[in-house]
Amino acid sequence: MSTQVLAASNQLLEVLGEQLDITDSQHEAAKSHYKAVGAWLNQEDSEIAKYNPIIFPQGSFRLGTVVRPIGDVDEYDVDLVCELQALNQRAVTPLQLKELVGKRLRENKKYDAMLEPLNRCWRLNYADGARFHMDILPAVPDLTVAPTPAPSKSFGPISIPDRSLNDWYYSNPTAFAEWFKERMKVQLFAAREKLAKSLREHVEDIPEYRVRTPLQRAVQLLKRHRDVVFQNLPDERPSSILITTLAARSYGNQVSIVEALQTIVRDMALHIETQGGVYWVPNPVNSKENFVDRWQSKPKLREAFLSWLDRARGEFSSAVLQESTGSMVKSFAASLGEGSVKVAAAKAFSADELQARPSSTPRIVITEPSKPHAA
Amino acid sequence: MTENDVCLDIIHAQFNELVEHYQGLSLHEDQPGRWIVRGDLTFRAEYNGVEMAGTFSVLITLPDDYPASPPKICETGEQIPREADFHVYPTTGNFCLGAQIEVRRKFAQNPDLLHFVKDQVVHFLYALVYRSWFGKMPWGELSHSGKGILEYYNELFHVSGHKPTLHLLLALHDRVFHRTWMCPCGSGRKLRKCHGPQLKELVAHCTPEDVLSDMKTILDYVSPKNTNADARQP
Ligand SMILES: [Zn+2]
Ligand SMILES: [Zn+2]
Repeated sequence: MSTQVLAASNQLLEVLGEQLDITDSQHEAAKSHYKAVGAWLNQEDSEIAKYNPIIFPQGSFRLGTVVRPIGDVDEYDVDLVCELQALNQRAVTPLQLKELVGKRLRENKKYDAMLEPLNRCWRLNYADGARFHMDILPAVPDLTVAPTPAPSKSFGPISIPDRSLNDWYYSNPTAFAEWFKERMKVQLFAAREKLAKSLREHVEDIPEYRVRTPLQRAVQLLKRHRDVVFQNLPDERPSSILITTLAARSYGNQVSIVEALQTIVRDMALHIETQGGVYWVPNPVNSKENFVDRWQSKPKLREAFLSWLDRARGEFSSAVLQESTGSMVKSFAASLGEGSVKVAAAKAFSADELQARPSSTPRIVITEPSKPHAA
Repeated sequence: MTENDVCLDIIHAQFNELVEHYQGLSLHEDQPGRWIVRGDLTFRAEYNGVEMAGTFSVLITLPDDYPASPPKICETGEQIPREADFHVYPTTGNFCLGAQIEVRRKFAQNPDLLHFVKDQVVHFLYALVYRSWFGKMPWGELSHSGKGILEYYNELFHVSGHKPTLHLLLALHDRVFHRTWMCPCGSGRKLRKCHGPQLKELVAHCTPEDVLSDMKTILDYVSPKNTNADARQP
């Protein structure tokens, strides 16, 4: 690929990644909001204080792979776990657990006004211009597995209510986040070091959320591409956890976003296993959990995933292989959303750079290719 | 005018045509009598609706008997590893664009530089760029060494197994095809109604020595001494 367009693609994708991302101040705001919720749950007069509630982030907010929804009215989703550490699934039903947390939240006038019950969790709709809502998922420690000898600051496996609130579902968001971080630790350290240098600070003082690795950027871009492709087919949309897991497995510490994307889309499908004829993408921290268990009963979901992946390969490759910055931007705009790409392009390039030059390279349609051979 | 001058005129005329489409290239006399084309080759190509583009620094070497034989091409920018897995001959760095006879056959259809680049080199580069994004070759590839040669001829002759191909190659080597003979492929049909026309066309693109060398390679691959033959099935 041409080096200029490659450099320009990286520049555009970096700025676009920032556009899709939650900002540092939104991050700080979300953090202080959920700490306040934690304090409210733990206050002396709280009925559930005795269960030792604790709030911590999970999912894309925790992983640094948040993606702004398409369209400007939508808000970021901040996923939190509220674990009642001194309770367990023998002492409480999933429904009771959800109600315990909900009741305490409703006792606060401010929270009561913004509370929205969801399937198995509670949503707080902040109306203070923060442009996010927080989903609080009630949990208790999972006593069916032995506690991991993990570092003290991380939390272990949890039990959460399933969709019907009838049964427990097992999860380990902390271990997953640790696994994800491990996959990109080389570039994570490099990114923190670079920021520290530019700010004349110590690496240790740069919190991880203030930098993004090429893996995180690639996951954000893939999720945005998925959101564009499945805008009108929400039922067939590949899940974020599936994309994130396959991307992290494929990532090979590439330094540039384009090279990370290239490797990831090339290798992602290689990490789909089969176990006794069943398609299987194991949860990296719980091999018994299969992220594609629905592919057996709904083969359409697998087809949708594979054709999305093929489309991502085609569109990303042709975008970074354009001859001019202008046509590269156009190409990305078609795949990742006109609005955000145009804003990113305006930030990343001058008007001169965006002028699309007419191409002089002959365009060939290949009809009778020969198969290359090795001696 | 000597024969040499005629060749020189052809090379210059062909290069001028090439550079009209591929501006980054230039013509040089590397050593007395040895002509090369080098520089940046930017291509765009589409296959089955998927577009690929790229720029590679290349070196095209014209053989002494050009244009009777096709040029050779290698890459000088270290973008492509010199590995058989990337279809590059490890020692020379030359691309293996296809089975040798196929490269000659294609070149003979339009024996000039522009067609060589458009119809062979661009296809090859497209396939490598495609592979870097999709993890596989867009239209497949031949296996390495003898197995790949056999695959090539089997596809070319539309036969399976090594026997019909070896019989046909033997006929090609001997260069005698009587129209009324039975076809050596074993179809039971007359040569003229079976592989006759194809063999006649191929004669122009290979010497008996080329054919013999391909036959030996295939025989080495299928011989019972080669116990790995089965293990190397795809
Ligand atoms: Zn090869
Ligand atoms: Zn025949």
